[in-house]
Amino acid sequence: MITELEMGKGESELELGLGLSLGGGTAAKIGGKSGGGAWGERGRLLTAKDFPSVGSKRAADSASHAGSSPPRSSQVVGWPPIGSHRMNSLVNNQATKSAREEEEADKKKVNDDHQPKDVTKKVNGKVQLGFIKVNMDGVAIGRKVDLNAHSSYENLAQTLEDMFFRTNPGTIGLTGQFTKPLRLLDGSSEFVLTYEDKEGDWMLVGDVPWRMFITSVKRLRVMKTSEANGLAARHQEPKERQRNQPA
Amino acid sequence: MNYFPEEVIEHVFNFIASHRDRNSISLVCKSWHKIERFCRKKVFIGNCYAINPERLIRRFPCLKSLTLKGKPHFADFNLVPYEWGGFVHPWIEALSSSHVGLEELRLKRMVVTDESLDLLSRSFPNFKSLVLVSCEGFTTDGLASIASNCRHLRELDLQENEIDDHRGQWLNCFPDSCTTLTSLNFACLKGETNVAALERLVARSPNLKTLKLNRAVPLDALARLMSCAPQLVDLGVGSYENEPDPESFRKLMAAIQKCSSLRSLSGFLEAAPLCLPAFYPVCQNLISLNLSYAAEIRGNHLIKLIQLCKRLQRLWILDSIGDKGLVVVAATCKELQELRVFPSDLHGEEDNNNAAVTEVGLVAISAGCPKLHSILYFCKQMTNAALITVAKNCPNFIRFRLCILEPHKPDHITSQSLDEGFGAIVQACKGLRRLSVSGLLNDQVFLYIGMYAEELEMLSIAFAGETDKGMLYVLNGCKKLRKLEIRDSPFGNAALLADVHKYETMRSLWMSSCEVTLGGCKRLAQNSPRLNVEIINESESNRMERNEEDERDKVDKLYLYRTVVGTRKDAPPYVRIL
Repeated sequence: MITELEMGKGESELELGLGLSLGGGTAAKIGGKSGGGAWGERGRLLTAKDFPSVGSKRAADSASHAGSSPPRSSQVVGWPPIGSHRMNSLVNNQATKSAREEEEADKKKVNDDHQPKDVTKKVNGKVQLGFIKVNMDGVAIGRKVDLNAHSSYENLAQTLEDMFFRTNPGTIGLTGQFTKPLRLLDGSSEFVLTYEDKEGDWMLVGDVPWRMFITSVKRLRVMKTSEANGLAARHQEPKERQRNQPA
Repeated sequence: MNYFPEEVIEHVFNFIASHRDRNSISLVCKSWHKIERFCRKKVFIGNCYAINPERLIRRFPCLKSLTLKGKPHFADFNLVPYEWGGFVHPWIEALSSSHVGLEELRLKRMVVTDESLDLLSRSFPNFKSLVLVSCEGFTTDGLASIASNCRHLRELDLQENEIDDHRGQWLNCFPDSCTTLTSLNFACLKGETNVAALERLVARSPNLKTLKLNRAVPLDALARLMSCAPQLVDLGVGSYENEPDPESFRKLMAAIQKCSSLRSLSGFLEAAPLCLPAFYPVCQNLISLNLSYAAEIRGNHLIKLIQLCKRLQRLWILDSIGDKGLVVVAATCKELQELRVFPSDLHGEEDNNNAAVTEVGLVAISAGCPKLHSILYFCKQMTNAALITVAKNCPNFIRFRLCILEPHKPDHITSQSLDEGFGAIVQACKGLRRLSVSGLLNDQVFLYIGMYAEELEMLSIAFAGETDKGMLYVLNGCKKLRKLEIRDSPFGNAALLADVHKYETMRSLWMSSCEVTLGGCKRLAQNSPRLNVEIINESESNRMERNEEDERDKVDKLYLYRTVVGTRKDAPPYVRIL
């Protein structure tokens, strides 16, 4: 899934794909991007099922009246009109259900000797997810991102890069290659992704397994690498960084 | 009436509670205006930016109860960015430094901080009731202030707020001397709850009528709580385990059986259906049932429960009840007045036909429940024929909100637009005050709405209409229109500018992803000193790159509202007030 994202598809717009096991869709949106009048032109999250035919999604949207592959209501900002509190609860329920189903599937595979795979399980098995705040150094207005709609750190980083670093969708040079987006996760950009955990401590994103991360994260912050003291292991020298930057 | 001394007139006025009636009274003559303003206890402000706290206090110095609403309705669906506004703090500050003896504060869609709550708790010795609906910006620390300092607190009602749960001991902050609680609702809190503190609190609150728990309160605690509060009228259940042991279950049943006053049930936030039988004894008395957060309760368990609720007047449910379940409701709940059916599966992946509701369920309800007057119905499909039948069966609708999940979806049998169906609804339901339309709709439906919906006060439009005529029909026809909210519909400047004075008769207009341009909004704002015209653009970066602004640019979001206090000063940079 990650490889597919990075390779790109040679389309005119970078579309996010989700590799969710939650039934293939997303119930919520990250936040509205400005778009034209037609609702189909917004940035949106696609389901894993759309991935193979994602190039034709745009055509499908504008042809919605003709009835070809009807766009799912869950892909439009603020639609269906369900209050965010209720929406979070709905998504949590579905996540818990899937988590529980996965757990039960895992349990069957696991011996008594081994640790259960899901280290994030709470006492009564619930997983609290939903929208969390994201702030970036130097940007006054924060955003919110729906953790449920992501399945990995790469997904999340991609979303955040789109939110904060893109004024236009990712552009493609004539050779058909992407201009490389800033990488928040490997320390190669001037920003680094951090989070506040349940105990109120600020931590670097990426150290723990994704499932553990999403149960303990309270909010995110895109921090200037220069301010992130003590992260020497992942921080590269500026010169090195420039050398590593894509042409 | 002017032959009577003022005290007598005032005494008569005190029997009039509705704020609209009060507003009418105050317009009769100067003398009545003066008498009325000094005896008005409850003030309702539908838009916190229409007036400011100083003028409020000047006019109504004796007010005891204030209701304030902040953000526009579409903020509920993440269409209004953070920090847009709706801050309650200036209001509390102003009230605090005046002589107002505030006793009740009700807020909806406002930003509330811990600082505000702390100031509130310290400023009004007789403060009795705090109701927060869809608010945000505070934490359980703020609740701790309220608990600690409001000696006469009766009501703390938190509905669907975004509260940072610091897992502090706010429940412990209620002093032992606090025995006046009548209503406590903390269902929206996400964190752990100090159950022991809660039990002690409930035990010393003999007047507690409403108790709504959050997820963190388990089954055995519920049984203990109900044992010490058999006088409960309204209960929100927290969580249930999957398989309660027989002893816990028995204790719960025993406790519930004593609750002969129980009339309203909600919550079941983490509930397994196996525990429902414990509630069977009270079902026959229930008038309100809210299972819209109870994803696990469906199928036969749900049906069995509903079949016992013969006196139900209000039902909020998930669409997993299915058409079959709604048929049962129609057969059982003859007293039903309000029904809300929410979607349970947003991915649309389930092909399971039983898992959703369609026009069949709606028609069944309309046929079986003669007293039905309010409906909110999320469904996957609809037909004109069904809507026409519903209109015939239920001409008494006051609120009719239909949301077909897929935008632009036509009548699934005839493939036509749904104009005729909605037209039938507005024509039959002469008392209709609130309407939400959806599905494939042309301008025709708006012609019908303008012609027939004489009492309509609030209209919500999404993905509908063809030309400016649609919006014009509504603006010209609906004389009592107060709130109009439109998204993703092709209405532009011609409609927006046709009758600028109309907006001063309304509370507000919202238009997002429509065809109105910056130029149009500017022209609107130029001639309207008593309107605030706000443009909300989230992606400022695009616009800042360009040095000139293009008047032909379409506006992302337009929010305009009438006001007597001019431009607000607390707008964030991405909100432009013209």
